[in-house]
Amino acid sequence: MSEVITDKLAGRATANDVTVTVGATATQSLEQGLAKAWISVSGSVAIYGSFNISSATDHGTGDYSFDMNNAFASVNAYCQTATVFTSAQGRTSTRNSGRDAAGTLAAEVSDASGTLSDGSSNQAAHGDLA
Amino acid sequence: MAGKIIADTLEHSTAGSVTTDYVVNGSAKAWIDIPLGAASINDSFNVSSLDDDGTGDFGVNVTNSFGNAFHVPTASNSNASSTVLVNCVVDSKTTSAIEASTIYVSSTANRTFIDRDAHITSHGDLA
Repeated sequence: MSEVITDKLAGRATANDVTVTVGATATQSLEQGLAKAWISVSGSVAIYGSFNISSATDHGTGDYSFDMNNAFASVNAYCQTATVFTSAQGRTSTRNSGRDAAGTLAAEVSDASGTLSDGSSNQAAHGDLA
Repeated sequence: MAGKIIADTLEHSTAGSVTTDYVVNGSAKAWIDIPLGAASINDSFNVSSLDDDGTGDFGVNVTNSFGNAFHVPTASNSNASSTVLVNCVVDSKTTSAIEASTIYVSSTANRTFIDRDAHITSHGDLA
């Protein structure tokens, strides 16, 4: 078994351009495939676990934002996926485009009728950091 | 010639180590940020094109295909200022495409299409 011990991987020509083999022959960008931020958070913004998240803010019932340590290049430069984890039926979590920013993930949690409701959620985002 | 490292483990001096199968399997193989109406692509990775199949109905075509149809798309959408609860759902998937839609459920219809910003990420094995 081979092992690389290092604190940093960087491309020779371009720092964020490292190729990794991900199929029988297919390759892809290592940087592009990595989640740049994720958070598992309660409905009262207690952070269960996170990566590249500096703080979580509760803006009211079911209305949350999560500031990042290192921001994305722009508000449209990332793909945010979300889910809720709750025993209540019919709840969902969506990205809140009325509050998000390059350095802020924003999310809402709603109940089955579409009304904002406090709830735990998971958020993850892929894209290009600034 | 480009440099190449063949290794089973990566180890950081303080943050721990990860076997490289987690890097390969844990990396998203495709993702896309779709603006309202699916008329364009905000940003994406390993996506060749986006089909606008009608209101709230779209298809994402990937550049490098998955090895099988059992890759795992996750989807979400923006819901700001909405008066109905909208969800982005994956309708079907093949090795080279993900068909998805943004819909809401009302008291009279189980599935009503509506345009929303949408975000899809998929993990799995490329061919």
